[in-house]
Amino acid sequence: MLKWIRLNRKYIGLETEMKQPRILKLTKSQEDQLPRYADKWVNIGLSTDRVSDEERRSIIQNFLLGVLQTPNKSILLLESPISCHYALNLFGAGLNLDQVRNQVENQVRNQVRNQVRNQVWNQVWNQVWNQVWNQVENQVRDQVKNQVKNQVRDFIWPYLEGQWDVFYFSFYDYCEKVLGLDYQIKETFNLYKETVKLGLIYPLEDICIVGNRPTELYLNENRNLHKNGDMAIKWADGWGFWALNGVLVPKWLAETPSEQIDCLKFAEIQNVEIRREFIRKVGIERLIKHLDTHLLDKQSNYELLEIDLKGETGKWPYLKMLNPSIGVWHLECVDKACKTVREAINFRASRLINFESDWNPEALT
Amino acid sequence: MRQLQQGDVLLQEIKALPEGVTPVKPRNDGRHILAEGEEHGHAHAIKDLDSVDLYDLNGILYLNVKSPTPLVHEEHNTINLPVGLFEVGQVVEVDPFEQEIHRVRD
Repeated sequence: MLKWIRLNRKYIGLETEMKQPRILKLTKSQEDQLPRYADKWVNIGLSTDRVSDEERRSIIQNFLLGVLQTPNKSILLLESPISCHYALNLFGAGLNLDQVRNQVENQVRNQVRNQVRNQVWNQVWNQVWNQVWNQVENQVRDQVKNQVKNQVRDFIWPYLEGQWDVFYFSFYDYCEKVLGLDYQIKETFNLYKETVKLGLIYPLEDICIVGNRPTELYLNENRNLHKNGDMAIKWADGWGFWALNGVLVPKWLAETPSEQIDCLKFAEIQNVEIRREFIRKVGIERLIKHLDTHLLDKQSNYELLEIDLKGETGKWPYLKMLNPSIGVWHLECVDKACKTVREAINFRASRLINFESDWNPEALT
Repeated sequence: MRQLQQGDVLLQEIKALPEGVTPVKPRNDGRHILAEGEEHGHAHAIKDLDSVDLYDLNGILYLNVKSPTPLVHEEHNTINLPVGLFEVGQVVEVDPFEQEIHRVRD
């Protein structure tokens, strides 16, 4: 503690009368390191670096002993979330898995999270939270982990998320390394921190199931999951999924070369984001060129097109519009009564109860 | 009356909340969600819970924005919600094969 005070005495606003000195303003040097720490932890969260089975076993043994204090478990090392899920069904049969999850959560909270949090909470502020925790959370949790979780959402997701937990550690790592906070339970914290080298972790009564990092993970320039032609994220056991620009798509859409895709298939895609990625991959010009279309009306970036979907389905009006946030085209089918862009836009908002005039929003993103 | 739109979420300003609305609790992650993608987990979300109250009536959401606050989404640009009462709606489209109107699915 003395070392910490000495380190930080120079900071403006240090409240020396407090038991635990409080930093009220970051120094320039501390501010400069915020993005560096966010990047560091994003890279850890998205890492595909292999960790040897020996090291994985050691990390989890130390964690079970030092944090959960339950060292006498068998350890089952697996790869993808789905293989962990299968093992969970096998070894967790008959267990109340929600109860197991809650027990682990409570233990980790009591042993580590709450203690560190209590020590840090009054000494940190939104700036660190926003620029480290939130940055890492946005790039790792929102862009990648949630996609994985959605793929396996019928699974029981564990409390211990391994590499997906990086946003938590990013915050406390910054506080420790840059602000000089000296955690009283540093050793326990570090054992917990090492779990970011692992995949999903399911500590059951007699066995601990441990997943691994993916072996391949591809992002686009906006750091969204993206791979044209192959899986965007893949584990060593072959499980993974396809994504274009952050949108999970079926295998055929990711792997079929754009020039071989049947343009009429766009109408069969019910999900608008997948349909959007279809249009982005095929190209709006090629799509319009290859479809039997007729322009009904045009207004600014909007066009109302009649598209012949062939067969019994026949001709339907589609509103072609540009997504103002990401600059890609959408095609959405509207009621056959719509003959103008205005009517089509109003139709799309027609479920609003209090909608009495034209739909003409002052903000549209 | 003001109208705002973020992707498939529509906000129509109203003069008063309808009779019989019930408060909606925030999600476990500490956010109010106005709409959520079925496939990808993307959400139109409000993080500052002190700035808004969210209500429900027969599946329709109503928003009381007490102080300006951002409405965020993973893909769409943020909208700064102004103070006011709003009905929350969702864009619809037609499924030409089923010939049914349904809310846009993302």
